[in-house]
Amino acid sequence: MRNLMSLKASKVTTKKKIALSFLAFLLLLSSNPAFAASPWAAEPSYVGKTTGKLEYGLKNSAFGWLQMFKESKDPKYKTEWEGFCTGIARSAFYMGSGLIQLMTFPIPVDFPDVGTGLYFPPTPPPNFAKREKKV
Amino acid sequence: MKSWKIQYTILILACTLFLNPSGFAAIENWQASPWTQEKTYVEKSIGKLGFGFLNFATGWSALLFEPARYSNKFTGILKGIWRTVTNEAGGLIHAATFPIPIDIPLPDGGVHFDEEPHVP
Repeated sequence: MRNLMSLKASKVTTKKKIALSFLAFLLLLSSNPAFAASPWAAEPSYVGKTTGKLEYGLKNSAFGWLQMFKESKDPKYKTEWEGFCTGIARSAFYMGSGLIQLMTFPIPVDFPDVGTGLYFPPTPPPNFAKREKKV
Repeated sequence: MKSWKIQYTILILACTLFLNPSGFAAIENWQASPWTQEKTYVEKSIGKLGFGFLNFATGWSALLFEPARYSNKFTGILKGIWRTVTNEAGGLIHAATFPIPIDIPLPDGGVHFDEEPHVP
């Protein structure tokens, strides 16, 4: 019985340790001023910030996993595998930060700040070149 | 008592390997990890985790690549086994310690799939 209780206690302390280290890591993420702030942080009003934070959270938590495929095509990596593996890590960061920002969207505090998050540059419409010629 | 001796031996080996890497420079070609060139803490953490994934997931490929690089197959197979161990262990350490942006250099810079010159 005593052994069982000590085992439970040790499990609780391990969980607490993991949670504390995760919190410390999140604090580290937000405390460094060198990071690029989340895109919604520049909004002036409370409604703009919370809407932006909600959008950022939804986009990154739902589609953050796409980053691994995007990163594999990045020319800064020597091979696609290197980009893909770094993309897995970046996807985890984006999805984690997206979930936290989604859960805390009414509080307009940029935490955790991992930069711009998932971003796809806007592509021009398919008949864009034809329209340009006509003009 | 026995476990204490084993722990002490591992500690001494680890200290010799990581605190005095110059002693091993003649045996292994230690190279800094590519993520160390990143500037921000987030980018370094992402790079370190990704580098860990890459080495842990594909470290075993040295078993195939190294014998092809050497004309002496026995040397190549032994090198492949050793590289597999270093890549897998290094990858695991990098992935497990990704929030701490301190580099642990790997022999030959870990896994890389670009072409290498043939070793006689």
